[in-house]
Parts: sequence; structure tokens; C-alpha cells
Amino acid sequence: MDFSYSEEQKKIKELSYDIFKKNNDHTLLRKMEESGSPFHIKLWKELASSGLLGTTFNKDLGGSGLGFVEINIILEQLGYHISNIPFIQTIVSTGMAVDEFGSSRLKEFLIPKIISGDLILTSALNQIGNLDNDESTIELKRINGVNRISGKKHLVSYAEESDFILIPYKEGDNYSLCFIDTESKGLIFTKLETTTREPHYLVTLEDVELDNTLILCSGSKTIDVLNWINLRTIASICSLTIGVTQACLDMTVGYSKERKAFNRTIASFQAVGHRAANCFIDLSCLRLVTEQAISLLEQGKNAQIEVSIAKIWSGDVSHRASYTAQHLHGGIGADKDYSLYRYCLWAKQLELAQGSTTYHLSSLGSMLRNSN
Amino acid sequence: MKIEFTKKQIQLRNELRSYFKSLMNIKLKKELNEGAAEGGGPEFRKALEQIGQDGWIGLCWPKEFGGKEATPLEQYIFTEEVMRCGFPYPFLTTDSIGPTIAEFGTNELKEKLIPGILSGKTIFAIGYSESNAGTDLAALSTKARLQNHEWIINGQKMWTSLADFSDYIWLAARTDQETSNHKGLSIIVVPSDSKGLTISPISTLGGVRTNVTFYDNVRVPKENLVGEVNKGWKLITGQLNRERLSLVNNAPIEKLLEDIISWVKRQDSSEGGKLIDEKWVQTNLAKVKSGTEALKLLCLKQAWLMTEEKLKMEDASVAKVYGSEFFIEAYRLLMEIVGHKSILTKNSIGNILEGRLEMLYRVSSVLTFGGGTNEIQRDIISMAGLGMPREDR
Repeated sequence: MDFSYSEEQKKIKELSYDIFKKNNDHTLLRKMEESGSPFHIKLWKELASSGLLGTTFNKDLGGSGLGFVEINIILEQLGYHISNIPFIQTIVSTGMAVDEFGSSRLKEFLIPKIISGDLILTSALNQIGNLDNDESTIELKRINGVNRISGKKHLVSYAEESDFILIPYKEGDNYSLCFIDTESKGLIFTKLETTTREPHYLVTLEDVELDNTLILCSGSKTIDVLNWINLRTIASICSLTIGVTQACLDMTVGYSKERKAFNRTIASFQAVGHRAANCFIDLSCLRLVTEQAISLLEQGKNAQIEVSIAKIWSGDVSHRASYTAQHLHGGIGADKDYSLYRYCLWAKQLELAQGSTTYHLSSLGSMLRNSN
Repeated sequence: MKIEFTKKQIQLRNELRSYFKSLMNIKLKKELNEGAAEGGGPEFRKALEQIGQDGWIGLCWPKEFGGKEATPLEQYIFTEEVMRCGFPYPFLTTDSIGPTIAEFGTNELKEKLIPGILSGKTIFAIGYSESNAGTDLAALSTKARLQNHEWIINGQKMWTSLADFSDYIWLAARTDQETSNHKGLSIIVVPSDSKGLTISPISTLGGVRTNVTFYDNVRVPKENLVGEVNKGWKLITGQLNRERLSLVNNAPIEKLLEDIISWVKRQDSSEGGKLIDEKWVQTNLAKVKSGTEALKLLCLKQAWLMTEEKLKMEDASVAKVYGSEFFIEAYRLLMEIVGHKSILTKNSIGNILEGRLEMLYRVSSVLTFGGGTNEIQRDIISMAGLGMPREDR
């Protein structure tokens, strides 16, 4: 039993804290949001030059050979200094899957460039559990001896900014996962505006040619790979949420200790202290259920139930911590000259990403039904 | 970061689970079920002495007292298993008062009391609360004054649970009459059969007996003082932190959830199929499951923090607030699943799982204020955990 970070993990925490903090200039981030700038490229380059983008990848490919715990340490720090970068998209939902399941050729092609910060990847896997949804089904057709796929995928983050998109497609009853070059003919990106301004797209594929060397997996294995990716993506969202909600709480405590009403700081009112204490309790719980899920995933164990539990907490705590922060700040919480609003927008986006609290309660309920 | 027990710890759990299964024999279950749920009956006494004889009470005690010096993580496993089986183990005596005597008591007091505690023969009741002193314990007014090498005690204590069958009362009394706060308090060990001590029952909503205890010129030897005179506050607060932890152990709710899940799998639903096939039933179960998991991890982390000697003041408060409020919510969610039949008591025909839910919801309301009310725990969290200032409440 060990709830602590190793010395190496502490170093990663400090390093990532420093990099994210340095690049967390509120005025700059706000300008980026308002100008429709795709993401924080300078930050991404710094993560690459510090070696953090290679944290989890195999040493043979230029990575540091560390685990999923370390990735989540970085994600918590990102959440605490939230800005738009495709970290989960490039590292967790695609890069780690390539490292685990890809052919050596695919690994050598993609991973070194991820580590150097020269390659952005994303996935079109947002509609979890919705593989049969018409809108999300991409069908494979063989046209004149060439494999082509067509269909639509909704809410694909960083699609246009990416070099490749991991897309699931169907051939008869079988699913496969393949990377598509974003320069391919027949790809149409329709930009969507989201609450955080993180770039999202409706991706339309019209007879896009498949490149067989970019197939990640096919056949019966695909569902397992999808599940593998999904569990890690959800756990990562929970870690990001820990950072975001911790920031909400810390900003609230800081503000309440300065702001005075009736000749005393509002932090000294018991009603204010108790709302903050509730967030502290919430965050203690969220942190523990998330750490448990990550610890199991790191060891390659089945963590279906634990990941669902983490997302149940994550959705609830996102919602509660964000609204508590807004409320206790009063007007300043809504003022865009102050950065709290960004954290609250992210809290909502993360709450709904990869299944809400109620969705996961329902899925955990099914698991309990089927348990022995 | 590795949130997992070692193989040895899992072995310990398995050993304890079968140990307590055989300990809880029919006679003992019958005794606990037919009234003395909080213990005190002859079968309870016999079982506790057995636990002592088998060395389990001393699991985490230092070797000099005959203990095994296991870590708080092993203690946590023990606590989970004993609570899971439903035995009313006297944690306050074995894990809280005992270690405090070992640390602060005179050699004479140690020799007199510790062998009895470790062999399961000695049980303490706690005499803290009074009619006008509960959460604000420092307001207590029961007096003790020293005269001819004896403490003479006068006053009245409320909610002295277990006093009716305990051997001693762990009494907080005012020894400096000039003070009205925490500075003039001391801890004195009072034999329960002392002359001038009257124990009078209070029966409670939860069906558990507790007591009012009256002290009318009760005399005890000077040596029964624990630690220094007027320095009892530190002993009281240290002890309360441990009490808070044992109040919210996750094992009973985990066991209850397991039993309810098996039950809903067997029950036919009015919609056809089994009760567990209904989505709303599954959702209620999932809510209890995700809440229980968080409680389990809070308790586990505290055991680990204690092992590492890093436990902070706010940690015990977080577990206490969360656990006590979660229990109330969890019983409600589970009673919704069982439905109208969950009002059938343990004595009624047709009850579900021996009427456990009907009993638990009556008992659970005590926990949000007992062991330090949750408002004060939230104050502690905002002050110690978040560094927020405190002014008048």
C-alpha cells in the first residue's frame, strides 16, 4: 500500500508545474480564446523540449519509459493551469495505444515525432458505447480495388490541427481502428464552437482512401483496444478534473481571505468555510477514487468498475466545485478579467466528456447486475 | 503509488474472515440479536476473552506489552473484518484508551489495567458529555478534588454508553475549579462499581442502551489520574481522533451492499424478470457502490498515513463528515430498493435481511453529531485543511 509519489514522480510534478505555470498567462490565454487560435503551441513545444511528451513511451523510441501514473501527474498540473493543448488526444487516446497495440512500423513512424512535439494526433472516439449510432458509424467500401471509408464523426477535438485522426470503421460486422492523414482527399472539417473554445469539428469522410500501414487493429481485438483506450481516456479526464477543481477551490479560498464584508473577511463566516470544506471533502474523495483507477490501470489490471466510479465522482465534483467557486466569488467569478471563468467552463466540459455521472451510474449498475 | 494490499495482508484478511465467522456462533448471535446488541452479555464476554487469548487485541500493540507490533494497515484490516461480522468490539477500550494509558499512565496504572485490556477482560466506558457539554466539551462541570490521596468526584455525565457493563469509566473532570475552559481538565479512571456512582439507563431510537451516570462523592485513589493534572485536554482530543475513525469504517456498509445485491438478484420484479433488472434499482446500487468505494479509500489512506506518521488533523474530520452523511444517504437508497418491506423490524416475520436496514437507519442519525458534530468537523477542515480564519461561530 503506497499513496505517495516516488522521488522521480515528485520531480515530474515539479517540472510540469513550472512549465504550465510559466505559460499560464491569463491575458494571453484569453486573447487566444477570443482570436480562435487553435492551441497553445509554445506550451506544447516546451513540453516537448523538456521531455514530458515522451514520459510514457518506450526508451527504444526515445521516451522515458515511465507509466500511466506519471502521465496523470502531468495532467493534474495541466488542469490546475488549464489551457488548450491536445495532451490527452495525442498522448493517451492515440499515442499510448500505438505504443501498446501498434505494429513496430507504426510505432517507429509515429512515436518519435510525438515525443519531439512535431506530430499532433487525435481520435474520433467521442461517442463511447455508441458504435452503432448512425452518425458515428463509418463504413468501409472497396471501390475499384481500393479501400475507402465514408461517414461522419461528431465532436472530434483538434481534428484540423492534427496530422492524423484515429477513426473506427465498420466492415460487415467487424470494427477496425485506423489513422487517417488529415491531408487526405475527401475529408471535410466543419468547425464547431464549444464552451471552452477548445477546437472541435464535425468530420465528414467522403470515400477517404485507407492506408493499410496506418491500421492500428482490426477484427475481434478492436473492441478490447477501444475499451483499453476508453478506460485510460476517462481516467485522464478525471486527473485533469482534479487539477481544474483544485484550482477552483484554491482561488476561492484565496479570494475569500481577502474580500471583506461587514468589516471581516468572508472566509471567516462559517457558512463560507463550510462550503469550502465541502469542496475539500469532495476533492479528497475524487483524488482517491481516481488514484485507485490509475494504479490498477498502470498494472494492467481490470479496472472497469473503478474507472466508472472515478468518473461518477469526477462529474459530480466538477459540477459542485465549479458552482461553489462561482458563487463564493460573487461577480468577480464571472468577470473575464479574472481567470476563474475558464476553470468553470472546463469543469462543465470535463463533466460531460466520455460519459456523465448518470451515464456511468447506469453503466456501473449494469456491471453490478452482471457481477458474481 | 500502489493502492493494493500485500499478499501477506490479504492472507491476514482471509484468516480473520474465517476466524470471525466461527467466532460468531449461534449462541452469541442470539444474544446480540435479542437485546444486548452493544455487547455486555455472557456470550459477548466469552468471545472477547477468546479474541484476547488468541492475541488479536494486541495486534498493533508494542512487544513490551505482549503485542505483535503490526502497522495501522493490519489494524485497519482487523477493524474491517470484526465490523463486518457484526461483533460489537470495544474499539474505544482496545485502540484508544488502552494506548493512551500505555503512553501516559503511571507504571502502577499500566500494570493494573493493560493486562486486562489485552486479554479482553476489561472494558471501559467514556464519561465525557454532560447535559451542557457535548461538542463544546471544554464546558464540562463534573468536579474532582484531591483530598487525602483520593479524588472526590461530584457531577453528572450523559450518554455514558457501555457503563452498565463496563469495568471502568474513563472520566473527564474539572480539577482546577478556577478555570471554565479546557485548561483545568483531567482524566481519571473510575471503577464502575465505585460507591456513590449511580448508572441509570437511557433507551434510544436506535434500540441501543446508553446511560446517565451520577457521581456523588465518588472516591478513587490519587494514582487513577492519567497523565498530569489539568493536562487532560490533549488526551481527550487525541482519543477523539481515533474515535472518529472507528465510527465510519466502511466494512458494514460494504457487507450490507453485497447482501442487498444478492437479495435483489433473487427477488422477482413486478415488471417481470428480477428486481436487479430494473434500471432504477441498478442506479441506486451504483450510487451506494461509488460512495462506499470513496469511504473505503478514505479509511485506507488514513491507515496508511498513520503508518507513515503523517496523519493530519483535517484527515480524520473529512472521513467523519463524509462517512456519517454517506451512511444516511446509503441506507435511504437501499431502503428504496427493498421498498415498503424495509420497515419490518428484526422481530417481524417477512423481514428482509433480518431487518438490518430498519435498525441501521435508526442508529445512523447519531453519527453526524456524535464524536464531534459535523459542523465543528467542517470548521476544522476549513481552518486546518484550507487555512481559512475562524472568528465567532
